[in-house]
Amino acid sequence: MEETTNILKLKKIIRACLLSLPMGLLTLVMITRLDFSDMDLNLAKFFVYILVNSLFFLMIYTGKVDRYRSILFVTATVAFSVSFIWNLFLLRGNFMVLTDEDIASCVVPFCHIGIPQTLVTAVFKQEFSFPGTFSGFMYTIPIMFTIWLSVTLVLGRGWCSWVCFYGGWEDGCSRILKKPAFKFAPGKLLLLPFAVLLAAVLLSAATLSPQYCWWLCPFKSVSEFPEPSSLVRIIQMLIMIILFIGLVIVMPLLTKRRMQCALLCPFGAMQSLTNKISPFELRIDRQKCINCGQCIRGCPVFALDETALEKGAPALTCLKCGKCVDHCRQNAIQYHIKGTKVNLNKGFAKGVFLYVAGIFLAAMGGGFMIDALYKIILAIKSLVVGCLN
Amino acid sequence: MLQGLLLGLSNGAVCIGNCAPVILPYMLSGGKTVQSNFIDLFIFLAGRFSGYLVFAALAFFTRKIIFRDPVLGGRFMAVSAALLGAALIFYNLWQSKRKCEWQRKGNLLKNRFIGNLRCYPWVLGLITGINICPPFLLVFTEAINSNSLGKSISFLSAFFVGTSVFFIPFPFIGSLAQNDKIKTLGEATLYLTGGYYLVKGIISLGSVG
Repeated sequence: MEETTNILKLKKIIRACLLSLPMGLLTLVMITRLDFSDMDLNLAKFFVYILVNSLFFLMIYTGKVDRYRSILFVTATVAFSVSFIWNLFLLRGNFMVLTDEDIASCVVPFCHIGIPQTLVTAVFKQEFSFPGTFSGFMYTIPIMFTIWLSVTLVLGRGWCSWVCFYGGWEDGCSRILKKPAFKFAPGKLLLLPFAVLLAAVLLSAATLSPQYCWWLCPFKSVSEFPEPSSLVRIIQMLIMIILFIGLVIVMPLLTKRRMQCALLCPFGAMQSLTNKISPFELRIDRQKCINCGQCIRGCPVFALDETALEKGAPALTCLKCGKCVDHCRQNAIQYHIKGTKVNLNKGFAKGVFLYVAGIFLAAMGGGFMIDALYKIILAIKSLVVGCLN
Repeated sequence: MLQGLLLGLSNGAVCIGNCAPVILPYMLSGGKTVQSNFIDLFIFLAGRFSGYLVFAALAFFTRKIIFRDPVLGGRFMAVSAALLGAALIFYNLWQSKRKCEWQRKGNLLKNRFIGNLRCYPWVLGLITGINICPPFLLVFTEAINSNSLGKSISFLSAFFVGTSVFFIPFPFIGSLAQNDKIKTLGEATLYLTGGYYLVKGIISLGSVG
């Protein structure tokens, strides 16, 4: 009996290894870029390569998507902030402060949250409402638009749980406590991100300036923020800090939900609409579902409720993070490719999704992780050399 | 007149860009039919036109554009932005179906002083017209340089007609709010845009002194 179990286990391991092999080869090229000239960089690449591939292997082997995705996602987010702030220091000489001169010279790194505000203004007014640059600086506008478009066409709002380089802060905070300190019923507040999106787009078009970025974005706290040189800037900074502490740290910690994503982010609202064009979605098998509510309690953005269970699919705001897939003991929730029959080859749909999303995560997050790790290695080395001398 | 019309048509996109944060959430929060939205739009545009007329006449007689004066213009813009924000929030509170203490007070005010909300788009249009419309500076310049008030007003009217064409889609978009979720979305957006103008106006007023 024990021997049979061991053989089955071995078969499962071999199967997972074979399925992970293409990812291993792809990430080998992506992460190393087949350049092994710098030893310190090689060390960073090696760690990231091992981390990405062992977590991908575990996803395939255990079938748990969210558990291992979150480790990579949170690490990538923290690495982004380290890498970004460090690079800003190297380029500008200050850590996070964005001076009026930087804004006037249009050398502000462009992030995806600015996309809806700039897109609509560019289309209707032929003006660009973000003081970013088109070339010659980090995070240029064309690069961010290209990344956004390619990920969006494939993952839709999957961006928010696989690619977003801010989401990991909330994701990480929402996992610290074992149980939520209190239950939060958002009700009509779930429409708030869409209202913020509409207001941000309209006001940005009216003022030719990204108003959400100035007034409400909490993630300036972990990237860069305008110099608090006037009353307006001080108020904007206070709002940023309050929203960051409230919606990104405290509320996710207490409710185990991604509150900023669920209740504020205009980019997330726009991505929800793009879920319609993404070929991937989640489906609930009504025959297997026993209405235990585990998935409803687990969903980080309130995309699942009784109505969604009845319909057999989560709401438009689904992040495709896979938390409900992990939580469902009946195996009733599965990834699905649109246009294919439901309940047919579930493992195939999940495998394809994991490959596509995993590659995006490895490409974006891997880059941040390598850069952050490389800088940390160099800093430690120079510290050690300094101490020895 | 033709010059005014062409100028209006060429500046229409800029005009709707400036008025959209007010008129679009207003219509979405109303949950009315296309026909009612067209009436509201007409009243809003009439308010906007009244604002234009008053300030064009003022510019003509004083030969001075108030908006170009850094201190006086700054104060004027700040006050009108704060007023616009307050007007949007106030309207939304009235419209709200929630039975809270604030609304009860709002209804009392409504019954005593206003009576009918029909004039509200006119008020919004008036404040929007004197507040946030950069192309309108062009028209003021024309009014200052013109020798005849009648000629100025006809130029202004033609400009106004040219820009108004661009507002036609709004009543159709507003009619989407017959869906409850979109109506709620409109209300929330109205609070956000109202809050933005109010805060910005107050801070600007503090900065101008």
